[in-house]
Amino acid sequence: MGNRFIILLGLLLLGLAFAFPVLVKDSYYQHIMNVIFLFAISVYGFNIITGIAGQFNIAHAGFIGIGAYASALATTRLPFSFWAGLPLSVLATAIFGFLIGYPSLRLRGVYFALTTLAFGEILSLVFENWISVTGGPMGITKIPPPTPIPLPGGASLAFDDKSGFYYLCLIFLLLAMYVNRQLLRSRLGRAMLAVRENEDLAQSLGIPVARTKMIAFILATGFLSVTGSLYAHYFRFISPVSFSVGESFRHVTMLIVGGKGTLLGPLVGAVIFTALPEILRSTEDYQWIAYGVILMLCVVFLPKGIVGCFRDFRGRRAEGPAAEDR
Amino acid sequence: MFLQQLVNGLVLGGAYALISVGMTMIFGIMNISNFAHGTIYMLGGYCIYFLSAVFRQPFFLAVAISMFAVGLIGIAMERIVFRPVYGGPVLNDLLIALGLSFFLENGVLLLWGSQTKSVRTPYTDVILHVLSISITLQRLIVLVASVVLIGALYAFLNYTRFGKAIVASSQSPKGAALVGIDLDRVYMATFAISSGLAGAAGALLAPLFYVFPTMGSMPLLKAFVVVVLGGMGNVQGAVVGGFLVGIAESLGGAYISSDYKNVFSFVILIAVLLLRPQGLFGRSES
Amino acid sequence: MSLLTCEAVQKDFGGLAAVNQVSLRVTEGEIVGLIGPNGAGKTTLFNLITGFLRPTSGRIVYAGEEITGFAPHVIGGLGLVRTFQKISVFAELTVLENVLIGRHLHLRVGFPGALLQNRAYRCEERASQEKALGTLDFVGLTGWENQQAKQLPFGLQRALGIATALAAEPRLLLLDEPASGMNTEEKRAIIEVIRRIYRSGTTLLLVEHDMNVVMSLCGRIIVLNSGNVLMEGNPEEVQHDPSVIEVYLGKGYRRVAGTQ
Repeated sequence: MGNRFIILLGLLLLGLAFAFPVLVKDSYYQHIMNVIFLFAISVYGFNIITGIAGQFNIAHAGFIGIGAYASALATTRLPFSFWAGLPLSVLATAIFGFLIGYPSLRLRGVYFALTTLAFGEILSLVFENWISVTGGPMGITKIPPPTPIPLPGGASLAFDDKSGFYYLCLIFLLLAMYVNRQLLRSRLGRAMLAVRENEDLAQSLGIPVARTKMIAFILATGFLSVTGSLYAHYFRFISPVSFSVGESFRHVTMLIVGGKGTLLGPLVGAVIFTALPEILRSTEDYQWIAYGVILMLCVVFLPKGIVGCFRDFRGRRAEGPAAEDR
Repeated sequence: MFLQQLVNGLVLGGAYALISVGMTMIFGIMNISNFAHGTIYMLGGYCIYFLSAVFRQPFFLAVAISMFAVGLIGIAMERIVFRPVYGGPVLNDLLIALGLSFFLENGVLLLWGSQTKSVRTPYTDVILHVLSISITLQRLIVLVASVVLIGALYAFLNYTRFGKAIVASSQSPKGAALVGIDLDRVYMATFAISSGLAGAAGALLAPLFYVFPTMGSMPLLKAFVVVVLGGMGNVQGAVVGGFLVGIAESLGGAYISSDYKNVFSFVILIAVLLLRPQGLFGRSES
Repeated sequence: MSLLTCEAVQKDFGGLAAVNQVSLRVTEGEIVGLIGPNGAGKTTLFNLITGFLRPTSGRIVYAGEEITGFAPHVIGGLGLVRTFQKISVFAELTVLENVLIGRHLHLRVGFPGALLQNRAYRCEERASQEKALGTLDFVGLTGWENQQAKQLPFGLQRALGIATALAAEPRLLLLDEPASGMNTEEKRAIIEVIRRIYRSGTTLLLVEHDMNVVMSLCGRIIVLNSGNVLMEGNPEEVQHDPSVIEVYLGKGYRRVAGTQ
């Protein structure tokens, strides 16, 4: 009974999501939804390496930056369209992911976190100082929106306004959620969970720990790269400030408060920490203090995040598919 | 030129050592990586700003008061924030310290604004010339004060009863508890010392580097580098590491690239973690 | 046929030989016990065999292939699986999830298949769920599938660790103190499980401190002391061997025990 209800609810929400730009014409709200989606996609990526595979990565803002700069350069300096630039930037980010992951993933726990912190800082410094490529603190401007996709019947799907972008982000978000979901039900995802819980035990069962961590890392960078590309072509301007280590901390808060390792956690976290600041615009100054307090309280009282604790409360004690509805 | 940069490096190194010693102690004794350490340093800066610029206290007195004030704040932190997460997964320490640093940084931002504040002392304008080196009196004071405070810490840890108890706790918390050492007091004292020294560093460096809410983020990262380089938990390591990193940064910035000055310490961090993760003075895990 | 052979395996830590020129052999189909006082080197030997430690010298041969220095996951992949004494389960995951992870080596469908949810994926998922439930039944954990592993009573956690290892379909199973920390009831249950495993054809090598457990299960026992093999033999022989008695109980008991 509960199953069917949840499926119906999910379909309803999905329908609402697709109908949103038609129902709500105010571009301000569309903008907020877009920002939520962007953050959510990146937090789903972050979830793969940190929530599922258990490796606390702090460099993800830097990877979003690589995706953003690669994509922006592909469309401004090089004659690529957004659509061609997207796989290129994913490839570029994945390469960096491999290079950075290879030395770092050998380290456990806090050492890995520190190494990614160091790499994140280095990336930040490079974004700011390699002026010939990244434009330095001035960043890259006049990034064009994605070229319209021709649809059968002569019309085309345009992305130069917020509602067009909305659908693009929504699709990628659903993709990110789907990948997360299927990951948890696959051999690969279970291997990641095993690595998170007990590396030695995982090894004794034949799971190649180093390789599994690397795959998680590269999968994560894929999503971060997509976020970066979308970000660049939505805001049409990028600068190093958006990709600093401080921004990584914002993602961390979203994931932890939302619930790491869960299916809805990243979305919940993204919604809370994007929608809330907008709603509470007037109290902007108090926001980050509130985040700090929320994070601290969460760690102590809600270590599994909102979604995680909600699940526990309802009597299901798994973070795997065995106890999920579908 | 080389000698000049070396001396600059020593001054920087002394400050790094002062900040890192506390962090390594917290790691060694309580197995906590204190990501909020940078904000503690920042509080030292704000303390001296208020004491010297607003209340016009003399410099040395202001440093001392800042040190004690921040030490007390450290104790409060230990009791209120860190105590609930003892013994839990390592990730929780990182996260709660992160939350604490958001809170403090933005609290300060809210209360006193984002404008950079400067702290003037009579020593910032006095320049000494020795051989081919010139150094402001303020910088010399930083160096001397760092050495003095670290020396005092040494004396405390090695020659006083409580100090030895703290050292024992870092080697074996259970053993220490068995012989009747009150771990609660040890933990409080560790935080007090760690915060006090970081606060002192913040106060000493304020006249040189100004005071602003995010002034602690770089020192935090540098402290991690130093701590890993020296060996996590190792006080001597933190001192030696501090000076090494300070000198490396100074020389690197002068001879290689001053834009990428901060990169050097991160490169050191990555190199250490890959080649010798236990650091210079740490024991390797089998 | 010798399934596992250790030839003069040595492990030095600093100046200390934790495992000193140990040679032993486990034949397929046997159930062998490895005993010895604390610090005798049993766990170190286990770690050497399963790749978590590299021997200073000597060879380890499994199923005719030298595995000295192989990585632990490679050794696991060859059918040599071990359990752990401390933290033997994936704590935050459910019982079923734990065992499904054990199926890792026997799943073929990769991530792309999982994304597409093609027939191969769906068949394999169903098959491995069934297999996992069967394994849980084998060790007596039916009904606990959706319980979080860390919520299980201690004895059942151990059973889960064994179930997870079994799911990997090992040829040689190394059990690291399976009965430690258990009460009499739990020990009896685990002895039954181990006997069932043995009867199903898996070769077993177990480290254990509880003499009752060892004597009732093992056909052959190897005694270690201070890194050396002291003696080996069947339970009767080991129980009455004076040097074994001396190592466990001290010199004074030699003559007294000899009269048993």
